[in-house]
Amino acid sequence: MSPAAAPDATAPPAVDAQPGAAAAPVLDVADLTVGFGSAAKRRSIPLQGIHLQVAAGERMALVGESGSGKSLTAAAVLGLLPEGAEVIRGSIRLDGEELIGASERRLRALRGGSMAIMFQNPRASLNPVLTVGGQIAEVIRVHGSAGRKESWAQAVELLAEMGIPNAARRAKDYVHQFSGGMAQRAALAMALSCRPDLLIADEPTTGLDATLAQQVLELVVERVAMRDASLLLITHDIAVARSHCERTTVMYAGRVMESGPTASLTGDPKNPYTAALLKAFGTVDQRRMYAIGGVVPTLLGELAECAFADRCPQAGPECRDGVPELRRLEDRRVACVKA
Amino acid sequence: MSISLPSAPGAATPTGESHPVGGARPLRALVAIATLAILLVALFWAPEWRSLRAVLTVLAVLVVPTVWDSAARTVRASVAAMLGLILLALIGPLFTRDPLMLDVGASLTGPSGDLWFGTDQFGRDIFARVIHGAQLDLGVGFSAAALAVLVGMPLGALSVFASAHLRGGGLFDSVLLRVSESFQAFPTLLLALGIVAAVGPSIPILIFIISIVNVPVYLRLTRSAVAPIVNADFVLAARCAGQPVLKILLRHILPNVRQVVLAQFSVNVAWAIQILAALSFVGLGVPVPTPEWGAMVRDGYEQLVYGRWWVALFPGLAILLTVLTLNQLSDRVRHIA
Amino acid sequence: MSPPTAPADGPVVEVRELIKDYVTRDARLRQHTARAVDGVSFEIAPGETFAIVGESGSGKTTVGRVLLKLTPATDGAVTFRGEGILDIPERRFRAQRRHMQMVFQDPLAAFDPQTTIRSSLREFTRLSGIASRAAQNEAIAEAVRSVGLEPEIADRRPSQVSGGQLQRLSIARSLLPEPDLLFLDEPTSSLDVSIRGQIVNLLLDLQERKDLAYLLVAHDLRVVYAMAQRVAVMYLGQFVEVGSRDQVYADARHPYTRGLLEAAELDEPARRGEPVRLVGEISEEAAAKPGCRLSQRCPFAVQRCEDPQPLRETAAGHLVRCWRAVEQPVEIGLAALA
Repeated sequence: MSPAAAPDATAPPAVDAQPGAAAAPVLDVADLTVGFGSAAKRRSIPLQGIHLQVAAGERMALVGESGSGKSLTAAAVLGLLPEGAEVIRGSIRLDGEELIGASERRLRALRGGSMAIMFQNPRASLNPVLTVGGQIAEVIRVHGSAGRKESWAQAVELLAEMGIPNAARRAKDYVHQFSGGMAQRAALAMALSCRPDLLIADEPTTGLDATLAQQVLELVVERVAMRDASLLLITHDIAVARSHCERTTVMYAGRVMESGPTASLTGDPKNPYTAALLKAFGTVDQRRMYAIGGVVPTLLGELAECAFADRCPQAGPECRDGVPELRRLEDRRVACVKA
Repeated sequence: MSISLPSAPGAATPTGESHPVGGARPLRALVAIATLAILLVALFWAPEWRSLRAVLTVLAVLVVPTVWDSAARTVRASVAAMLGLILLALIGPLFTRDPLMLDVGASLTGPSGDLWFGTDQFGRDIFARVIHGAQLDLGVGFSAAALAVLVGMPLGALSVFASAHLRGGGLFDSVLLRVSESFQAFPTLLLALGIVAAVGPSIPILIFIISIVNVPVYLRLTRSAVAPIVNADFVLAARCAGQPVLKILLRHILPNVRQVVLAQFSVNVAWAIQILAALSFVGLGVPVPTPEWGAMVRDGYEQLVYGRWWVALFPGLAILLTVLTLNQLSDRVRHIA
Repeated sequence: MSPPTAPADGPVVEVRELIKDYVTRDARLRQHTARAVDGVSFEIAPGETFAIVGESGSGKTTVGRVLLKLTPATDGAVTFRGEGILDIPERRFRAQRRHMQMVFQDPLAAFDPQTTIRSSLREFTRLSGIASRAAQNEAIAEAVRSVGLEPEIADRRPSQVSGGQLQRLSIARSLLPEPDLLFLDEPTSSLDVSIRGQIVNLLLDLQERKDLAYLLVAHDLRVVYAMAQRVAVMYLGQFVEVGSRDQVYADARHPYTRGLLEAAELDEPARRGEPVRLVGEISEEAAAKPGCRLSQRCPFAVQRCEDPQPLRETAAGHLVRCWRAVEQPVEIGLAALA
C-alpha cells in the first residue's frame, strides 16, 4: 500500500514540516498535562506533556490505543474534561486564543462556532426528539442572519451535500429513522453547519462496517477540505491515518510518542511503538500475526522511564533512565532515546 | 508466550460513584431510632409523666417520618427502619391492652396520658388496635407481595428465556403477556368484589386477591429486566457449559436482576397494604372486629366531622409511616444496583 | 496449509442448507418472519479454520450459534462427528456439548459479573466429568497456564483484569471440556491493536497443539488472513463467495468480496481485478429479493442480476454467487478465467 494515498485535488498543499513557522496554527496544544484528583491526592495523570499543532486547512490524525489519552486530549480541547479531571499545566490555543481558564460561556460559544465535534455514535450529537433538519436549521439561524425558511433550505442543502438522498424529505425525519451511515452523515452536516475552523472527529467510523466506514471517512475529508477547515481525526487505526491525513501524532500511555508528516512517519517510523503499531496493522503472515507482548497500561502515574519500555523490543537500560523528551528530529518530533 | 500480571488490578476496578453503604449516616439513623425507642419506653414506665406522654407521643409520630426520611439515606438505615417496624409489629402487641376489649362507657375519649391514641366509638384502645393492626397489615402485605414475587418472577424470567432459547417459547411468552395484560386491565376492586362475594371475606382470600393482581407486575418487571441479559454472552457461555435451564435461571439470570425486583418488592408491600386498606375501607376487607388500619380509618372517617380526629388520624399515620419506610427502602435498594 | 477440501478422515462438522428465521409476534399474535440465514452449507475438517466474513447484519454470528444449538434452527442439517444434532433434544445433547465450545467477542460480557472467574471456569470442568474440587482446581490452573497466565488470576472478578487477559481466560474456559470444534465469534474485535496479535497467535498455537477445528466469524480481514484455510463471504444470510484463503484474497470474484477487500486496505492486492467501490449500506429489505441482494450497491448490476443467483463454481472449491463474475469476468474488471 502506498503511504498517504489520499487522492484529492481539492486538498490544500501539504503543510510545511515546521508547524507555526509561516501561519499561526489553528490549534496549538503545548505541554498539556491533565490529572485526576486534586494536587494533594493525585489519582492518575492520564495526559503528560502533550504537544499538538494543527495548521489551517490541515488534516491531523491522533492515533492511539484505548487508554492512550487521545479522546481525553480532544475533551480538553473542547473544554469538556470529565468530572474530577483538571489541567495541571500547559496551554491550548485555538486561533491564538488561550482556552485554559476561559469562561464556560466563551467555551460554549467556541464549541458551536470555531470548533465542532463528531462522535463515534452519531446519535450522541443529534437530539432524538427534534427533526434532523430542524436542529441543523437552528444552528444555522444562531450563527447567521438567515430566517426560518432560509435556514431550513440551507439545512436541506447541507444534508444533500453530505450524500443523503431525498434530503428535503429526510430532513423532516428524526435521527432514529436514519441508518447508521445516514446518521453519521447527518452528524457531519450538523457539525459543519456552524462553519467551524476545526472539526474534531472522535472515531467517527468505529461502529460502522468497513465499506461504509470508507465512504464516510472520505466524505468527512472531502467536505472539510472544501471549507478550508482543519480536521483532527482521532482513531485507533494507523491505516486510517495513513490514507486520510497529512500529519499524524501517535500517542501511547498519555504521551506523544511521535508526530510528523504521515508519509515519512509511516514510511520510516523513528519510535519503536509507531513501528509496532504499523506492523500490527500491516503485513499479514501466514499462520502468525505481529504481536506486541504485555498489556496496555492503565491508571498512569508519574513515570521515571519510557512508558513503552516494558513492551518495547528495542528497550535498553538507557530507556529506563528518565522519561524520554519529545525532541525534534528531522521533519518530526520523537520521544525515544534510541531514535 | 506468556505475559506477566500487573501488580495492581486493572483500571477497570470501579472507582466512580459508589453509594454510601455504611459510615456515618446509618449510625445517625440508629441513634435517632434508639432515642425514640428509649423515650417511648421511659414514658411507658414513668407514670408521673403521663400528661406529657400524650403530647410527646403525638410529636414523635409526627416527627418520625421526617427523621426517617432524612436519616434513612442509606440502604442499611432504611433496612434498619423497616426492621424496626417489623419488630414493633411482632413484640408490640405484648405490651398493649386488649384491642378487642369493649368499654362503651369510655367511647370516643380523646388521647390522654392513659389512653395515648384515645378510644373509638366502642371504647376500644386505638393505640392497642394500631399496634395489633401492624401485625396484620404488614403480615398481609409481605405475604401477598412474596406470593406475587414467587409466582411472577420465575414466570417472567422463564418466558423471556424460553422465547430466546427454547423451541415454541415465543408463543408461551406472547400468551403469558396477553393473560397478564388482561389481568392488569381488570379493576382490582371489582375483581376483589367478585371473589369476596363468591367465597366470603377471609385473610387467606385477601392475600390471594392482592397477590394475584401483583403477579403481572412482577412478570413484566422481571421480563424487562431479564430481556437485556437473556442473550448476554455469559448466559450463552453457561449453556455451552451444559447447564440446565433451571440452573442458568437461578445461578446466572436471577442474581443479575434481583436488585430491580427487590426494589419493586418493598414498593409492592406498600401497595398491598394500601389495597388491603382500600378493601377494608369499602367493607370488603378483614371481618370485624379484627383490628386493621384501613378499616379503622373508615370507622374514624365518620367521626372527623364531629371533631373526633384521633380515631382516623392514628391508623392513617401508621399507613403513611409504613408506606414511607417501604418506599424509602425501595429507593435506596434501587440506587445500589 | 491444508487443501481447501475436507480431508479423507471426514469433517468434524458438516452443515447443509441451514436456514434460520427469527419470528416475532405482534399484539394480535401474528407472526413476522425475518430470515437471518438462508441456505448455508459448509464443512470443517479437524485442525482446519473455516472463516465467515461479512458486515454486521449478514447473519454470520447466527450461523455459529445455530451450529452450537444455542438457538434452534428453522431448517437444514448439521452433522457433528457423524451424528445429526439439530433434532436431538437438549437434554440428550448435553453429552455432546463439551465437544463444541465458543469464544466470545467481548470477554467482559462473556463472564457473569456476579461471580469470580474461577467459579465461571469451574462450571466448564463439570462438563468433562471432573467431580472433586481439588481436581477441578488442578484442571483450571493448567488451563490458565496454557493460555500464558498465572493461575491466581482466576480468583479475580471479570472487571478486575484487562481485556486481553480476560480473552485469554475465555479461551482457557472454552478449552476445559476438551472440545473438537471452537466457534470463535469475533475473538479480537473488542481488543486493542497491540493485543490482537497475541490472541491470534495463541489461538493458532492451541489449534496446532490440539488439532482443533475453528469456525471463525470476523470482519477483520487481517485476522482472517492469518488464521483461515478456507473463507466464506456472507451477505444478508447467504454465502456470496466461498473458497480457499488465497482464492478469496488474491482472486476475489464477487463484487462484494472485492469491495470488502478494497475497504480493508490490505497489503497484497495481487490479482483482485480493478478496485470496486460499493455505495450505500446493508439493508434488510434486500434480503427478501429473489435475485442478487447486493444489486442496489453494486456498480456492475444489470437487469439479469434480479434473477435468482445460485452459487456457481469457478475453480475447484471456489464458489461465487454472481453470474457476471462467471460469464462476463472481463466486463466487470476481472481477469478472464483460465
